Amino acid sequence: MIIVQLLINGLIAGAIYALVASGFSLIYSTCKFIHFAHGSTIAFSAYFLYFLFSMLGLNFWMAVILTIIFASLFGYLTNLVVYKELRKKKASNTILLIASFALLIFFESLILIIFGADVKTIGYIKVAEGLQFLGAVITPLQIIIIAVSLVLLISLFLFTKKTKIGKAMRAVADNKDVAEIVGISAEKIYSWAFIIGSAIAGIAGILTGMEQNINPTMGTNLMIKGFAAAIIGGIGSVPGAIVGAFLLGLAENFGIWYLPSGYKDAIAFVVLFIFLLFRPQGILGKKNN
Amino acid sequence: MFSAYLVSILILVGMAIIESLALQLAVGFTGLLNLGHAAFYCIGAYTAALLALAGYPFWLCLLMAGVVPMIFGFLLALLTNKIKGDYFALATLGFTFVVYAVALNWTDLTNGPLGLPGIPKPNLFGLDFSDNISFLILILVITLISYLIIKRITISPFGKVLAATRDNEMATKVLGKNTFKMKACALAINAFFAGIAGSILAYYITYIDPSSFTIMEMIPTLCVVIIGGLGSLEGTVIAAVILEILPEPLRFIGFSSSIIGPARQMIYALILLVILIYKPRGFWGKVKLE
Amino acid sequence: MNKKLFLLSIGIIIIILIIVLLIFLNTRKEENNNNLKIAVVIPLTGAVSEPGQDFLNGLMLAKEKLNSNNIDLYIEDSQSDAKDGVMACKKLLDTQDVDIIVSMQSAVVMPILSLADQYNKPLLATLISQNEFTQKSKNAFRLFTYAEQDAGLMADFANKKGYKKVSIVAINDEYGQSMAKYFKEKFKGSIIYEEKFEASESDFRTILAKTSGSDATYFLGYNPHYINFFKQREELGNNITILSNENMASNYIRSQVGSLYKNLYATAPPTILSDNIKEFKDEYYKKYGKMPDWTAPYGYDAYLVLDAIQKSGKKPIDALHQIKIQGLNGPISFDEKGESYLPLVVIEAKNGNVELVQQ
Repeated sequence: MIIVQLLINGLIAGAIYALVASGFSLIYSTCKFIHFAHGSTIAFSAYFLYFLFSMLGLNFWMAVILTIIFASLFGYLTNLVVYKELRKKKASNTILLIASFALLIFFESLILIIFGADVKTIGYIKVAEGLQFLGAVITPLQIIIIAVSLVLLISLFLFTKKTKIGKAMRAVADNKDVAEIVGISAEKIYSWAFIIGSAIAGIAGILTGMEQNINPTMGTNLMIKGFAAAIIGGIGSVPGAIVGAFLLGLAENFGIWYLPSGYKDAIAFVVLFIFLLFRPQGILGKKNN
Repeated sequence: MFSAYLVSILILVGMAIIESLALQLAVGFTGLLNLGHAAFYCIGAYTAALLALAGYPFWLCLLMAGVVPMIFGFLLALLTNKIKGDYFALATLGFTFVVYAVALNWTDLTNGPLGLPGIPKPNLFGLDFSDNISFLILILVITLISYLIIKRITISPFGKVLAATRDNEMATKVLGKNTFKMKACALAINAFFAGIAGSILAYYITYIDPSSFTIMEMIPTLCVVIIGGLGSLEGTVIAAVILEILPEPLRFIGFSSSIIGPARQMIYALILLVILIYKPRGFWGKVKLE
Repeated sequence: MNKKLFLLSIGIIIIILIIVLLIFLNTRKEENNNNLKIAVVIPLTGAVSEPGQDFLNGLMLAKEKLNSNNIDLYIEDSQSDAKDGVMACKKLLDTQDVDIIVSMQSAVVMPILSLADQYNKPLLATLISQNEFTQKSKNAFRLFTYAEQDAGLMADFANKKGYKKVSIVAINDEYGQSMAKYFKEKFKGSIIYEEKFEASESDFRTILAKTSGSDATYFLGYNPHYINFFKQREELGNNITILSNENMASNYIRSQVGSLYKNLYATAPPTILSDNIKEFKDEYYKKYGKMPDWTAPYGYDAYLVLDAIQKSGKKPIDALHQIKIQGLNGPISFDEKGESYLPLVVIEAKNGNVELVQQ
């Protein structure tokens, strides 16, 4: 049945967007600025996996683990080298935004130079007919994507609610100054946000790379979608980002059933624009300024 | 021939100067981080291209290339009036995306990804500007006029109110100035000159398609504005010239064009990062980026 | 503004310009005024990079074989993109005094044609399906098959096969849309679904779902699209027959999709059949270490054309109308419109290879 297929496609897209948006929201809610270069983390992770697995021939699972570590490290270093320096100079959020933009461009260009503009594939999973489910088809990889993101998102939720670091993150997100008074080091929390957020981004990169192939602009594209999802759901709210992501995924896939496929990205842009104009705090966010 | 190469570089420099001056007015002088700049550039280019292909005279195409985006500038100012800071930048960014999507999909008007080829060379008072040198002179004249107009605006009383809006909008409002009108005018002027720059692109390359108008294409302009320094027109001009010429030696060391494109972006991004960290006032800036 | 800083920046600008000038002078080629100068703007990166590279290989093989030193080739990468191709071509036209432009890929060739008209140089194009190309200008010369012929042949085959309902899924550019138009004209059955997709598209699953109920799908794109289409067709358990053109007959695609290369009919130049132009294929293999793909013979023939122009001593545009040579694709000559009417056959995917089905 077509409806079921569209629903499944929407969930798959939503799952990937949710991974992107949740990591991004985690960073925004704690560090309070827009880390556009999150998209570079995704792209670099995908290419890193390609490098380890397809180019060097490493064992697949080994390559995956190394990639996730790489992703966290990448995010952590970006924070340390660029954002921390800027924060020391008392840079405003706008400056951090521009800097993250510059980083995104820098890394995308770097990928273009190293790997070229061609699409690359990670040929780990053999192409085979997918499984039939209520009249629609879903491949094993797609099931994994949905499963992995659900597991990760639930873990993230439990993490922020139950663990010490998670609670410290929420404290910093609510009110950094008060959190510092009770002894939480904001800088340390920022680092943790980057490490965790980037690890999730790394996983997003791996899954997308396997599902849709790798190209240099994948980071920017996913970041725009993830960012749109975060805004729609409520920036600064990780559950909101997830809700926004699935909504966006479904809207896109149901949308292109009726519209020509060129409009797919346009749907995201238009929805994003409308929310930015009329409800920038999103569905679940709280208005703050 | 080196002279032909130099001429083509200078034409691109002229375009960069007009674009950067336009953006500088909004960002440096009015404090509006207008990421919708690329959208105005796009609208200007398509307006000029469509009118030129339909056979309208050059002066009309150039004028409309400025006026049509200006209308959108006002519109954008209206829509984003209540939005501050980061969200303003993001909303204008959203506008760029939307315009790009329209250019890509409204094929009846823009021909979509097939683009508009064969844009005729400008023809003014019977003088044909088809060879590059005369085209260059035309561009330099337009650039100079644009600079003079924008300079005049910034030192006028209107310009002072713009600066006041940038520094403290609340105070300016209290003093009775209509800050919305100020911001709208600034965005409109930004749009006007961005559109003019867009039309020059259309005439020079003789072919445009939506791919020239993504946010990526706006990065060099943003870099110029910040590196040159906010609030300084002279700084913007110098930064535009240096940044446009700087990556050129790469072309001759034998790098293919598929490497030079990203290499340019990398150089710009790197310089921008360094400036943001160590010299947020830019080289000639009068105002710190807020 | 600070006077020192101002002078410093002027100084920097001048230094950079001097560096550029020096490097420029150092790397210029030895220029012989009697040589024929050719601007070659082809995709070496991007979606059409494999055909572009293959074309270049064929071109250079001919150059080596003919051992001619009277032709200067200035090669630029169009990056499979119209805007980049136009800018690269413009750069060559402005800075070198080229006599002829050689280019490929409809999306890039069509805008370059306007440029060619402005600078009044003949444009020798291959991989140009867009039907009206030669009618648009006296400078347009097509060393390829044209959409009405190509799509027409496939439509004719579909008619003979008895297909009644066909879907058309074509890339949204000059080539895809021209081919779609002429297929629709010549196909006698009904088109039950038509879709355009952008060059950046990688997900054809929804499109595949929408083609259900068709006897076959006429699918037109470039290598990355074909590869994804094959894979997703398999994943969805969709058994639909694909109709396409020479793009899909390439050995590159065959090597990438392996056993998924089935249920496919395509038009192709007869040169791709294994027992044709064996000598050329051996020479190519010796030089490059791999078999030529379907665009290499066009590159080879293009060089033969350029060589004939150079040897005739006439103005290129006149020479083009007068040449009569034998190329890998058969006899080559251009009529008054600029068409060369190269041959095309229909092939079928069988056992991971291609076999002739219809002339």
